[in-house]
Amino acid sequence: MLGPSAQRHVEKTWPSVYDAALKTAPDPWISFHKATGEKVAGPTPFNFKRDGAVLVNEDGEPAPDRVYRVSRPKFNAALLGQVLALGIDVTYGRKAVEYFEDETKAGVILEDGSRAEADVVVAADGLGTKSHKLINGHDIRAMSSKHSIFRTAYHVDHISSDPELDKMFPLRDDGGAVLQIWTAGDLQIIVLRAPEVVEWHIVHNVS
Amino acid sequence: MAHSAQCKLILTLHTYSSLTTDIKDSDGTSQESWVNKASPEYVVKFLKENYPDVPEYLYKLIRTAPEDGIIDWALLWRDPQPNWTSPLGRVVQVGDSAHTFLPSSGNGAVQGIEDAISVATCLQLGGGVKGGLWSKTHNKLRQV
Repeated sequence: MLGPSAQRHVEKTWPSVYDAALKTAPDPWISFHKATGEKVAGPTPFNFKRDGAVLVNEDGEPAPDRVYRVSRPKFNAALLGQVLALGIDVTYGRKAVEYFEDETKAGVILEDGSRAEADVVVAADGLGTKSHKLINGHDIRAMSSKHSIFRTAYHVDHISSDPELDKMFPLRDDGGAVLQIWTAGDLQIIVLRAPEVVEWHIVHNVS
Repeated sequence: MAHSAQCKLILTLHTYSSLTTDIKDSDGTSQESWVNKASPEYVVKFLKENYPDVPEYLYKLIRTAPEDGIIDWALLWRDPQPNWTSPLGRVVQVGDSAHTFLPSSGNGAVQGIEDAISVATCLQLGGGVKGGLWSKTHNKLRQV
């Protein structure tokens, strides 16, 4: 999901990324369901609320007017295209194992023992980043939440060609995407039906 | 930036199991990884055994997924940290490196982009990289 702050920045600052990955991205409305699939409410558009009241934009309309479900492959490709267009050197498949710095430079030690140095290093190596030792003085332990998530995304063909699935996971009347959220106890099922893709996530208990 | 800057991007793809505790689901197969797969039949079996209220047509939906297209991602907690920048201010964490999001929060991309905007702006206005004022400013503004 991409909310308004990031959307506005990308649209203004990186228009080719916006055109390639955001402009035509699905803008789902949400509906709420029981674990049996029975609908309880919706679909309704995304609204941000503060103290229970829907926030409004500069035109007095509910804000945000759009939240994008961005395709990771499309967004990654658009960002990479921009990086290459700027002439930035890209190296693939190297694993950072340690970060370091001194008064004049910073750098990364890679798995093969080689070092890459720069004035500034941005650690964007994700949840398992190796930068905590330098930055916080220790590694960060991960603890089980006792939950796991099945997640997938694929082309919508198999849904739209099946009358039952097409009916149970429909698009909006205006052709827009719908995000169904099914909940019961520790189970949460999310199904996104968009014009081109279907995505589903199942958060489940881990015994 | 005022001075000429050389930029290099190192892209890594890895699993995060080295920092994780043992995560066991019914088959002990969940991982915090983009390459840990579960088959559609495994998911259907799991639901049938654990959540019998789920209707038949959901199984049908699950079976439309590609055989190798479902990821089983362990949801792990990490304590939030007070610092995203190194002591001398030359290394800065952005995105999931800095934040402890679960994928189900749906907010990781926005935070990563906001981090990038803040890092770029603080680098531009922060009086050069020496001394690390730019990154301390970034950390201060983003932690609030």
